Amino acid sequence: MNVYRLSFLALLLVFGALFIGHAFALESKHSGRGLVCADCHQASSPAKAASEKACITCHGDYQKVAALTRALHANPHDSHLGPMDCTKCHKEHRASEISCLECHNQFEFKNK
Amino acid sequence: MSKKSIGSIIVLMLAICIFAGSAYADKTMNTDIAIVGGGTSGLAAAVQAIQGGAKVIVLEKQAKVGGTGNFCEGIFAAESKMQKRQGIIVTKEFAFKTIMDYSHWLANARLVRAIVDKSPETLDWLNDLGVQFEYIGPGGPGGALTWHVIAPGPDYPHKDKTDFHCSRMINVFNKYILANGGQILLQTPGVDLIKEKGKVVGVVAKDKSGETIRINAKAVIVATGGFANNKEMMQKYAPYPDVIPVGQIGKDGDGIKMAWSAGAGEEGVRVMQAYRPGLRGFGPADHMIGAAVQPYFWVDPRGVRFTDESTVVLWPYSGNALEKIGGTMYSIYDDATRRFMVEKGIQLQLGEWILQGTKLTKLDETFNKELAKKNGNVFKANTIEDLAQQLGMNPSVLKASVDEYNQMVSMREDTMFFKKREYLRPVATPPFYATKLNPRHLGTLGGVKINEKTEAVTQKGDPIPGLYVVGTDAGGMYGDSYDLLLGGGTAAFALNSGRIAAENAIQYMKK
Repeated sequence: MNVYRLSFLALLLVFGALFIGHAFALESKHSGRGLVCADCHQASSPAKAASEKACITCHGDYQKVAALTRALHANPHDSHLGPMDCTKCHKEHRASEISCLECHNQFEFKNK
Repeated sequence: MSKKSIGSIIVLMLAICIFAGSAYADKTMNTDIAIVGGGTSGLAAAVQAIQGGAKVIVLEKQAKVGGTGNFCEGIFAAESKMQKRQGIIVTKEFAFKTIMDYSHWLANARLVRAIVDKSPETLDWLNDLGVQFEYIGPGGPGGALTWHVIAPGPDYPHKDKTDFHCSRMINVFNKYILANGGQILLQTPGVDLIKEKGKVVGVVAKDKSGETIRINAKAVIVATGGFANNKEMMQKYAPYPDVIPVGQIGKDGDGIKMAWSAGAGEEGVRVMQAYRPGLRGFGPADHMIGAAVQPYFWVDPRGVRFTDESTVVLWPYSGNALEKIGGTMYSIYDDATRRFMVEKGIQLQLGEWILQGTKLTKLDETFNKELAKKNGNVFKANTIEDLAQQLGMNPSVLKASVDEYNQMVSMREDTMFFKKREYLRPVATPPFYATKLNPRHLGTLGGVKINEKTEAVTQKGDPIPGLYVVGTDAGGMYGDSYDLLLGGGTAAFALNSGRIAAENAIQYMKK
C-alpha cells in the first residue's frame, strides 16, 4: 500500500540522515566522548548550526576559557575583537581555522 | 468526536501556532534614530543624537564596538584650542584649500568645508566627554600639525591599549551611550533599509541566532565602514583588488549596498586608503616590515629602482607607485644598514606603531623565522648576483642598479629621484637582505553620494528623506587618492560626519 511505502521511505530518510550525521560526528572529539547531534544542535537531525550556548554549557564562558589560554604569547580568547562566536575558529565538521592569523601570522596557536 | 480529542486538537493547533510564531515572527523595535554600524562615525552619531534628546539603537556586526576606530590614534582639526595654545597655525582656509587642491577639486567642496569648519569644536566636544589629547603630530614627518593624538584614559595610566589612542574614544562613546539610554545590539548587523513612500523609515537587522528584527525609526544613519572585505566589490572598484587590508573585518559593503538600493548615488567608490607597503599577515608594528619600509633602496621585480623611497613618508604616494609597477617590489638593505636599524634605531618613524629611534630588536628573529619558512617573502645572500638569482632578476640588471645607487650615495645626491640625502645609505656590506612588499590599505574611502548635511542623495543630488550616510561608507572627501597631507583626516571625517548626521536627523525628525 502507498501509505506503507511512503512511511518506509520516510523512515529510511530519517535513519539515513541520522547515520550520515553520526558518521561525520564520529570523527570528532565530541562524539568520541559519546555526544550526539542533539547535544549541540538541540535536534537529532539538525537543520541549523549549533549555537554558542552549546559550547558555553560545557566549556564555560569566555572568561573561563580566556583563563585557560592566558599563558600564550597572545590570548585568543581575550582579543581586541571581543567575544566572537566560538565557531568562528572552532569547527566541528571541518578543519578549524585561526581567525587571528588573517592579520597576525606571527601568532603560533595550535589548532584545537 | 469526543470532547477530549477536540481538546487535544486545539492544544496541538495552539502549539503549532506558537512554534510557527517563534520561528517566523519578526521581532519589532521602535526608536528615533537607528544607526547601522558601531565604529567611530556610528558611535559619534549615537552620542550626538542622545545629547539632542533622541532615542537611539546602534547595530553592530562584530562582538565588540569600535571597528577600525579601535586602531587609529589621532584626529584632524584646524584652529583647535590646542593648536592655538602651542602656536601652531593651521587655519580652516589652509585646510580647506589643501584638501581641495590635493583632490584636484574632485572632492565635494561644501562637504569638505562643513567637515573642516566643525573640526575644532569636535575636539572640544570630545574633551567634554572625557577624551584628552597627548600631542599634535603631522600626517607624515614635516607636514602640517593637525593630528591630535589621543592620550591614555584615566583608568589605565600605563597606556593599556584598550584605553589609549582612538580606543579610548571608542570606550568613552560606548560607556556614554549605554549610560544614557542608548541601545547597542552586538553581533546584529543591519541587512536592509525599510523604505515607505519614498522615505527611509527603518532598518531590518539579523541577530546572532539568525532571527530578523524590524527596527522602525524616524531616521537611519548608515555607518558600516566600507567594503574592504567584499571580494566582488574590491574586484569591481579597487585599482589593485589584491591590496592587503589592515584592521578590516566584516567590511562587506553592507551599508553602501543598502543605500544604493534605496536609490542613493555613487561617489568616490574607487578611492582606497593606501598604506605603507607590507606583507599579508604582518601587522603595522612588525619589525621586519618596519625595516623594509625604511626609505633606502627599493626595486621593481626586474631589479630597477622605481621611486624616491621616501614617498613612504606620505604613504598614499608609495602605495600608488607600487600599484603602478604591478604590486610587487623588493626592499634591499645590507648588513651595515641592518646593524644600524637594530643597534642605533630606525630613522623614519612609523606613526605611533614604531616610534622614531626604536631599535629593531625583533628584526633578526622575525626575518630569520620567515626566511626558514621559505615563503618567498624574504631572501638573504652574500653577493648581489646571488640575491638577484633568488629574486628571479637578471643579475646584471640588479648589479647595475646597486652600482648606480652606491655611486649616488657616495656623491650624497640622488640625481635620479632627488631623495633627501639623509636617506642615502650604501648597499655594499654583505650579507644582503631583501624583503618582498605588496600594497596594503587601511580600508575603502567612498561609496555613497552625500551632501554637506550627510544626507544620502541620488546621483542627481536629490536627498533621500530619512537616510544619512557617514564615515567610510560615504564619498566626497577625495579625488583619486587618500590624502595624508593633513594627518587624522579619516577619523575626523568619521567623527564630524557622524555628528552632522545626528544633528540633521534630529532636525528632520521634528518636521
